[in-house]
Amino acid sequence: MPDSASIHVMIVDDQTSIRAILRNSLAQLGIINVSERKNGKDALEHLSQNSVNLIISDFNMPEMNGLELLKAVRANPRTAKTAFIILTGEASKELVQEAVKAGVNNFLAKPYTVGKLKAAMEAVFGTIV
Amino acid sequence: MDELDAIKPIFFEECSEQLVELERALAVLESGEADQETVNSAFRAVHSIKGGAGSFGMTELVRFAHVFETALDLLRSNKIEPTQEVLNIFLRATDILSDLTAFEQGGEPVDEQRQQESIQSLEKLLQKPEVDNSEETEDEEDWGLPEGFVPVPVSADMFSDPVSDQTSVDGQDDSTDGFEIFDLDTPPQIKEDEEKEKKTEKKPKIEEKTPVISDGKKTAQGGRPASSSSNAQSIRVDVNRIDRLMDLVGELVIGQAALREVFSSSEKKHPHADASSNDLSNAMSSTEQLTRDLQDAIMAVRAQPMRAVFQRMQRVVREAAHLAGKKVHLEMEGEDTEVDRTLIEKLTDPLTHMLRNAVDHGVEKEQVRLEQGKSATGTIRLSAAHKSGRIVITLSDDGAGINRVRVRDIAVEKGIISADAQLSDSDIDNLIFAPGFSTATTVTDLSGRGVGMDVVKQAIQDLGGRISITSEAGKGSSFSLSLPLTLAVMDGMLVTVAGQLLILPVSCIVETMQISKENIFVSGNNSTVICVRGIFIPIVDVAKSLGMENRQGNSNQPVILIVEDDAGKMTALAVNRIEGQMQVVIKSIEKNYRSVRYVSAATILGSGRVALILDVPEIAASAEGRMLNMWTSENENESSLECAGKV
Repeated sequence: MPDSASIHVMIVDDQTSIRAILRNSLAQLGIINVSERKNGKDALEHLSQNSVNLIISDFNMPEMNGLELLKAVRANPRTAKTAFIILTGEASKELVQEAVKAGVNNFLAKPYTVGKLKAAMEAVFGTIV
Repeated sequence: MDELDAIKPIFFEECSEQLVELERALAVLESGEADQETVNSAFRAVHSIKGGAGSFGMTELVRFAHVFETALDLLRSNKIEPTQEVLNIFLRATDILSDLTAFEQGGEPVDEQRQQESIQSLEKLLQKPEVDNSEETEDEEDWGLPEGFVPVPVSADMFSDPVSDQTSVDGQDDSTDGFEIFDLDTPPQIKEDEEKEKKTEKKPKIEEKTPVISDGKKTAQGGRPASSSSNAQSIRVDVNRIDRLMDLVGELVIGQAALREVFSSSEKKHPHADASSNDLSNAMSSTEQLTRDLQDAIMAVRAQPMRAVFQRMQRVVREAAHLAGKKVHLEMEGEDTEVDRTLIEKLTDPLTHMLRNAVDHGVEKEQVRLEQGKSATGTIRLSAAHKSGRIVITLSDDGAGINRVRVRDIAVEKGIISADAQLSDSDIDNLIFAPGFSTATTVTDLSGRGVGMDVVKQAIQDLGGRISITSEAGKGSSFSLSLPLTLAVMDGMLVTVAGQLLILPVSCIVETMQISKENIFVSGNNSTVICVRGIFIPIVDVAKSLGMENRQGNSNQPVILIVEDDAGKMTALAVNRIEGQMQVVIKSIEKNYRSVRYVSAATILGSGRVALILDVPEIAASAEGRMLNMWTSENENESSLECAGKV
């Protein structure tokens, strides 16, 4: 039962606007420890220096997509247990199955409401206080 | 939601970037040199627009982007081929997508019929492949989680310390490859995968011996992690602030000129300069250099590549060609040429109009082209480049060229010229810039929008630019636009003409020389030419042109400034003396006084005096007119003007 102040989130999305909206939604849930990266490659670089509890990542990004990022995160023992939610508007079955195989914790469909975001996070973390 | 409103502009800016990317990707596909990443980036562009639009509740945009994206997905998964027919559908859809985003920003509503047509053609593509997409499409439509998926919780205790809790020592099994090392309290579940997933259930815990980087931990624990660093590469700044900077640099230039002036006059009074006066001079030179660097730096902030305008032109040509029932291909070059952003904004309309004209009046119909042995598809070339401190944009087509007989007839009919006017080919070509001239016999949807080339010319002139045309019957026409890089400061040559100080832009001066009277030839109509290295160049007496009485006019050796226009045509301007070179701040004379013939602007000198800046192309053109008369009326003189032996 984590409290919102202890959650560190990394948002990974190539669109500045999507990141801004997500940051805004997280703030509404009281989560203010948020970092942003614009693709998988930058995200891994951030992870090499920092620790986060949760990665919310887009699927489709240039340089390194969400699935590749997920696999890389899981492959590194230091980050392997980090919660990973995929934020996507594109739910093709193959991709979803691959993500599940790679160990994704949850999905969040675009567009989402703050309520749905909370539910998606709580399904992973338990009730957030 | 206020916060969302604040994010909207960012979204729209991204949309326009995505649209440019989409256009680019489709253009590459058209060229047949596309790889998988090209298709991916096209898909990603539409997908991103859809995603953002969804967050803002722009349902119409989402709906269209969704259909578009689904169709692009077929291309991505190689279920359809990027044939021209398919690409045309995508190009149309891109236009609609662009219109829809424009509408969301408060633009005009989208033509419903065209939108419907586009949706229908996209949906037709979706039905083509044998694979049934209907199910998949529905899946995506409800935005729901994939069937059978159960979220995977993580242990809550990891929150006491996000890092150390991940370090659980067990040390039994070190085989860690790929995702299998992932320790899940509950394995991910998808019905068909259940069997396989069971195997992972008894996985040992991960052995973690990697020491935690201490400062990394600190960052994570800190109130706000290093999140802002992701935005560090660019910031958004109000344009007005940059404009203010540019203004200030202008004032700085004037201030420095004043300082220089004071310094020189005091030096004249005390000619035996000591070391400190030398130091002062050096210090001034270096601040002058720094000011120049500062100006360049601010201009670089304002500079943007032409790409943004150019990419939009693809669509203009596409639509114009479609309406005119012609096949036209637009080739572009120099999209990366950087120009001031105000220029970019103000160039869009004139270029749009010129391209429509080129399609409408320039390129012939397919059949006509074939009859003339040309390729069925007409080509329009649009290029941008930097040339001696200016940006030159050329737009040429391989069409019919200017129909001079018709242009002349129309000009006579409209009372622009008299029926017996003696005009050269170039004069006739330039008639299309005359106010009120429009050759379109019927007002089409394309060019007949109430504006003609005169409006284009005016728009270019307002930017301190010039436009010229060359045309060859049956081969096509070429327009050349030359624009200053900045509208604020330029390098000027200070000259004296009849006791007055005048400024000429250094960028258009090719050569300066003193010339003796033997090299000046007087020809008919009182026009004069000089011979420079075997080439005749018409002379313009600047004082006479400006209506000034030249008291020093008897000078045997006038100073000649040879200037060149964008077409490479040279003119010699005669002045009394060259005073020096300096940076000048351009002040509009039109705004502060009124428009004056042969004068493009004014500036303030270091002494506080106002000096006029000559409109060099205009004054040079006045010589051209006289030259023309000379060659036409005194043709027999031509042979007597042999100068090779005299130089």
